[in-house]
Amino acid sequence: MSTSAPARPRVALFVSCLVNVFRPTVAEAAIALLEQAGCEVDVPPGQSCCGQPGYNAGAIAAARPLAQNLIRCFEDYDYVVAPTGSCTGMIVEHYPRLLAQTPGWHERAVALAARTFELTHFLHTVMGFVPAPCKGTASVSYHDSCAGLRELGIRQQPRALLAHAGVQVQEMQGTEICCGFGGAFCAKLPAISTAMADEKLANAVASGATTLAGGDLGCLLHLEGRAAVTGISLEFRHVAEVLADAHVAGHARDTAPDVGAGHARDTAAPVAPPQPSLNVHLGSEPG
Amino acid sequence: MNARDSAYAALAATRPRVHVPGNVVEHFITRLRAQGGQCSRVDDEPGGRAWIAALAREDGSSMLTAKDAWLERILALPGPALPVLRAAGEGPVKGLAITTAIAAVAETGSLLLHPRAGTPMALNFLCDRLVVLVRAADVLPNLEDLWARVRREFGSDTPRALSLVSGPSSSGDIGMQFATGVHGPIELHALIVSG
Amino acid sequence: MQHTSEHFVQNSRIALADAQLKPVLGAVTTFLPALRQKAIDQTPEFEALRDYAVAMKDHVLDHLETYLADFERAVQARGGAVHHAAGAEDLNRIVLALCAGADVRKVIKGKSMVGEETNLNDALQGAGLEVLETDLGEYIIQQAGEPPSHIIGPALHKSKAQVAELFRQKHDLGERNLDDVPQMVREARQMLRERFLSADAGITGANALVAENGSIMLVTNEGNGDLCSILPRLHIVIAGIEKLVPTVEDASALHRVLCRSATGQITSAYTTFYSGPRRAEEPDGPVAFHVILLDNGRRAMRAGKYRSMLRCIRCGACLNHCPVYRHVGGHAYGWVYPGPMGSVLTPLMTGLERAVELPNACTACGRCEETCPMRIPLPEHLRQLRDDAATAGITPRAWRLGIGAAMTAFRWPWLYRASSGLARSAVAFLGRHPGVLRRVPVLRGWAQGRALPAPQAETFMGRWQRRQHGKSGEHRL
Repeated sequence: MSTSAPARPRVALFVSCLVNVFRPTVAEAAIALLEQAGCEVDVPPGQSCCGQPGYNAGAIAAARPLAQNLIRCFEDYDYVVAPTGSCTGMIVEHYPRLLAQTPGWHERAVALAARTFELTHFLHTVMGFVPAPCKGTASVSYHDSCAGLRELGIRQQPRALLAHAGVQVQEMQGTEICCGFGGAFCAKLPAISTAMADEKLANAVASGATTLAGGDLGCLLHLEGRAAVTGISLEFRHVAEVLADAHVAGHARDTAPDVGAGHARDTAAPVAPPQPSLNVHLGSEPG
Repeated sequence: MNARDSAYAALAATRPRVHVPGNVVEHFITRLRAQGGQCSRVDDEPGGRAWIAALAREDGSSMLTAKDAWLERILALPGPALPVLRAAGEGPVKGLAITTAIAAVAETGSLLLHPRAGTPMALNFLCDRLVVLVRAADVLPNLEDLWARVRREFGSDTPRALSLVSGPSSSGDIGMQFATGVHGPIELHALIVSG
Repeated sequence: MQHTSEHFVQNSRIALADAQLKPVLGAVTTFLPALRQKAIDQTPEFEALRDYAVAMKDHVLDHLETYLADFERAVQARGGAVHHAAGAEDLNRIVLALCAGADVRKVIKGKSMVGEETNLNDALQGAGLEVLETDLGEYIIQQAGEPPSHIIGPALHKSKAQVAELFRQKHDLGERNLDDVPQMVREARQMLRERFLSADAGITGANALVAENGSIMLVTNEGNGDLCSILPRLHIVIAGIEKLVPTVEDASALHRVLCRSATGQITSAYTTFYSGPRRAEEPDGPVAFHVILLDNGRRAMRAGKYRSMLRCIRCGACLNHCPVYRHVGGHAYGWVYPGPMGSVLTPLMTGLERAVELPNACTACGRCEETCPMRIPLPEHLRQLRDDAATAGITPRAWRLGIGAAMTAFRWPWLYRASSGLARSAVAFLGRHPGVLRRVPVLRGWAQGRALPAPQAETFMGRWQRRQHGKSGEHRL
């Protein structure tokens, strides 16, 4: 897909619940990358959950006001970008369907869907962004999350960005098979969910990589939580963190634009570089 | 034409075909072989007669024959001795059997068999080795061509059974391992007669 | 068969613990998708074939009753008879009446999912008839006394060694060997041959019902369906009303996507169109030909939001590509139709309250919809069923209230931010206190076999807002 971007597009970052709660550094990394790519980034404070948890778990009608809220919040920007295939898929694929019968809203949903992108897709395809190469390349395998892969066609974009950064992805077997996260599925049917995680983790380990990167925090947290219990030592990182790190590694720190630079460069607090990985509280029992 | 039928006519006009690249007969042979069938070509009917005699000699048993004018003409041609011929319908179906197809389809590697006076359909499904003769000119590219032929041949009074046979009786039900001769023919042999 | 869908969770745990099943399922769900892909790679027209199959089936569903009437007239014109069964018991009753009327004692069957749907074998055996399944896979599970685990390969859950063991138990082997698959197949051939020849009635399903000429399309690789149709004096066809197609060309159009999707074949070994009883000049064939058309919830499906489910051609591709099926296999689903298509059909045919867990047995990964030759939006149907379950109050209360509360709170961005902050703190606390975590509804599911990841020090929105406020504060100074 090729879209001619404005010279300095105004991009709204949709943070996603999991990034917001668990791993803000993913949003920081996303902002850093978007700004390097020449975007003016804003994080509209009116954003809330996209409604997917309810939409998928038996509360379709309850997801509608949340969709309307996000549309109102985001529709004045040139683009909406999210560091997740899952929530992006909700906006792009499901909002038009969810609001098909809501007078006045279907067109707005379709219009927003057309301007909403998953982060790596946006950076690579829309902005033509080439990240700086990094030194000391980690050995990385890539987990394709299902919503990104099948709803949005995200497969080659993160790999292309990683290749530009000098990270050669060591592909694992079965990249098209679900890891078992599945939102509420992981809590409703934990035994099946963890069996699926075990297969994914075994494939990741067999690839020889020491880091498993991905575009969706849900899958990564699920796999990381499982790996912690089964004693698999892999690092789990969002692709934005890997790419932002690549930049930090490849360039002098002071050339990296600060988060929020487009808004108030002089007063913005310096942002800590993304942390390598998150800790896991050990102590839970295998199911 | 009512609304349903005109909607159907518009729809049917969009039905895609499966492209059959290259020579139709060659494609048929490739397909049938890929499905575990065997295939031979002879230039003319005497060649067919000789081929049948050689196969029958190798098989050693008697040969069950369908009641079919073309087949009878071929078998009546001069040539090496044939085994005991048993007309289908007399006695149990087993061993080597030989019949004819009015058409074949390259797209799927299929032979069209149908019930005829004096020839039980069971012949096609109970013997151990089935030989089907078909004229090279009757090998059609697509299933659509086959149905056009059937309509031309029979009009609306199509035979009670129209069977597209595209390989030996086979199954992957045990350990997903391909095995032939589950119930019917262990071997299916198409003999394409040119000329 | 016994309906155990309500015990899906327990069933799946049993399956997950079955060490013999795991490699078999892994092989099935790896090998069959690979075969399908190979067949599709050889068919550049595949997407167009799918489009046509979908459009044609939708057209038939739009005009279902008139096509059914055409089919019935055509069957009668060829000397056959059509019967209508509203439900499972009706179908079984009609079959029994036909058998009684023709003094049938021995029945041979081709594989039929409709027969599984109505529990036909039990009904026949209950009436004192001898019933033999002739599809090799069905024969195996009949001998083992098990239900099918896959709609295409009923015995795919059994390893070669398990089949050999079963034959040793059930057959008087004498000197015969069962060292490899060809020998086992030969063994079944010998056992079945005599039974084929002595049967009074043959019961088969149909892969399509052709309205224009009253014929039924029967697709097999073994040829067992043909023997059931040809050898006995009575041929009974049982099929769902959705199997209708207008013409033989349309049956072939479906056949093209069916074979590629089911087994990765360009065609099955046998595809036969049967219509009516034998004619005067024919030496074999049945003297009576009956078609029983089953509704069993299909007309209700057609009238509502699950209509596209009637496009299903029972190819099994969604099973082969489902990551949940890959781990739990078919038996866990607890009824005749497993996998994604089964998780839609079972609640619709047997009641949502009996199968409420099945729509949850889905990660919404979308591979089934991507693979379905008939482009059935399976994840969408499963999502809708979860919504139906919540609306009907079948979903557990804690889930409904929890989701409802969250969705309501998140309508207000300030409340979303506040609850995110609370959630962050709660997760941080629970991560340090797994004993407490295991008592929290919903989250305790996560805690089974997974550690709770530690959140970072502050939510992103909290951090961002503080930063923005800081900026505006400075401007004010």
